Amino acid sequence: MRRTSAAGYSLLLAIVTVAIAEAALWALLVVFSYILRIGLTLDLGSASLGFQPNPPAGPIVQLFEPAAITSVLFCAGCGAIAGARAFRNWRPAP
Amino acid sequence: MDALVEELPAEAGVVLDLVVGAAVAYATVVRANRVLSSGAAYLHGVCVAVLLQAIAFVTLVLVSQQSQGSTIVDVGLFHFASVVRSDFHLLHRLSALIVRTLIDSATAEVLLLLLVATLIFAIVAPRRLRRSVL
Repeated sequence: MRRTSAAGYSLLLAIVTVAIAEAALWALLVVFSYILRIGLTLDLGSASLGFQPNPPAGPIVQLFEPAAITSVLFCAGCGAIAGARAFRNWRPAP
Repeated sequence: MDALVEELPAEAGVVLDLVVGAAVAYATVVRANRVLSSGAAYLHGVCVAVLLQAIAFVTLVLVSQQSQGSTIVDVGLFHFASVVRSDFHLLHRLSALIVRTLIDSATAEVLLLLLVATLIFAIVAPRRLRRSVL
């Protein structure tokens, strides 16, 4: 039971970490769009989230649903690989 | 410990020493525990992934600057991203005719350099910290 709850909490923590990382990434992209004076549009299914400098200038970068899904999977994958590698190669300090 | 810290002179060097010492102490504790060590590695991996994606974004913007038309990133049937120039975009066609400002490529390059430097730091820092602990 303790192992199950520990595994559940670890999974929850991993998901929250990826969510925070994704939020930070999107915030970073908005900041970059502001600095570079480009438009940024995130299309998620029927919803669309956009950032446009005023006055409109430069190109508009559109990111679609597969990009968002790939981004989440990439973040989780990189974290999981790094964590698993550290767990496997861990040795107690001499 | 409190008394010792209060007796120390309030100088930038001392503050830096204390911060680095605390970081090394935390790193020692984290490395001593297998689960904490894996958690830290997970966090590190996620940070590296975020930096790589930010680099990919700035690179996409820089590459799109080279082409006259739109830049589209597709993998098979999946549309990942596209960079549409303002004068091709329906909503901003009129305003783009009046105000046409190209991106300063130098700004994008500086951003890219900063991101690459941060990525190198993120990859190298744990190894340096491990060496300093040992």
